[in-house]
Amino acid sequence: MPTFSKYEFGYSWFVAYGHLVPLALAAALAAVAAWRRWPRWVSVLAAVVIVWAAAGLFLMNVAFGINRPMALPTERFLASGAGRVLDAGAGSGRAAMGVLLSRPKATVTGLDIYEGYWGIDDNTPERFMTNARIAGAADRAEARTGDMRDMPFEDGTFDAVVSAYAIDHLRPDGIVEALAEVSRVLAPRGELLLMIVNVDWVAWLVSPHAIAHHPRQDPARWRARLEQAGFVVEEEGRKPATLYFLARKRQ
Amino acid sequence: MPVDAELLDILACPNCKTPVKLVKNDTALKCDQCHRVYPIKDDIPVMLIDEATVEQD
Repeated sequence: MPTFSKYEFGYSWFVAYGHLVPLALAAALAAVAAWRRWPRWVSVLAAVVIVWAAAGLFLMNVAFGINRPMALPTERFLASGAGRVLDAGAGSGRAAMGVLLSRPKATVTGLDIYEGYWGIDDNTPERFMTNARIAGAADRAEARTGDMRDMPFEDGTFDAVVSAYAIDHLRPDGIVEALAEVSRVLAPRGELLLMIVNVDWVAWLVSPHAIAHHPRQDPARWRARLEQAGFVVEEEGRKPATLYFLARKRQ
Repeated sequence: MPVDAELLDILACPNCKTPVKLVKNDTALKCDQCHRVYPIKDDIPVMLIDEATVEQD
């Protein structure tokens, strides 16, 4: 799927541009309604759909920027700009590239099970490394196939962990296991930037799919899970369709 | 390009959490504790317990 980005994150066309379908249909309806002099409510309905689809297209591609490296939600994450970072559930590397570009001395290990469909076509570690090359940071990036509930790393390996829209796709017991693994592979005082899908008004506007597939997230429940896994939450906030936590591992 | 030796120090067996070593002409990684062998496909180690084979020495 060609995109207007130099990156190749591989999001399926309907994830990035799906709004074009109702947009085109509504535009066609509006044209026919005008030509055949159909009742006014038809044109109004078509206009509503056009406005919604255009807003969704704009939010997904411009505001959220699905085909751009992620703008991290907080500057406080890895403020030193250096360190060994793990991206848990890295996929094609949108979050990892965000870290590599904004934290120029950091190295990033992308870990993903690379199995099943998560909105990305041809989701492979090769695609992750292709994006690292496009970002000019291939020498600071590596990909590993593995399960974040059973991570293939020794204790205390990483200075920081980033995880975007991944851990929240696990079952509740898997979430507990993954957070325990994040804590284990982090060095003492290491930090975690966790992002999960939040069904807010942006999500409502952008994606009926997101609403159907993601439960309403209770921030208090995630705080409790993080504390149980040995973290202190230092910052918590919301971004479009996102809930994020910056947490630090206790000694 | 072979798997970088320096990057190898951070890899561990997902089952035992202990270090793994290169075997089979650097095309696989082995855990000495549980004897699981993890394949390296196109330079990417596949560290999945389900896809490992158990090979006694």
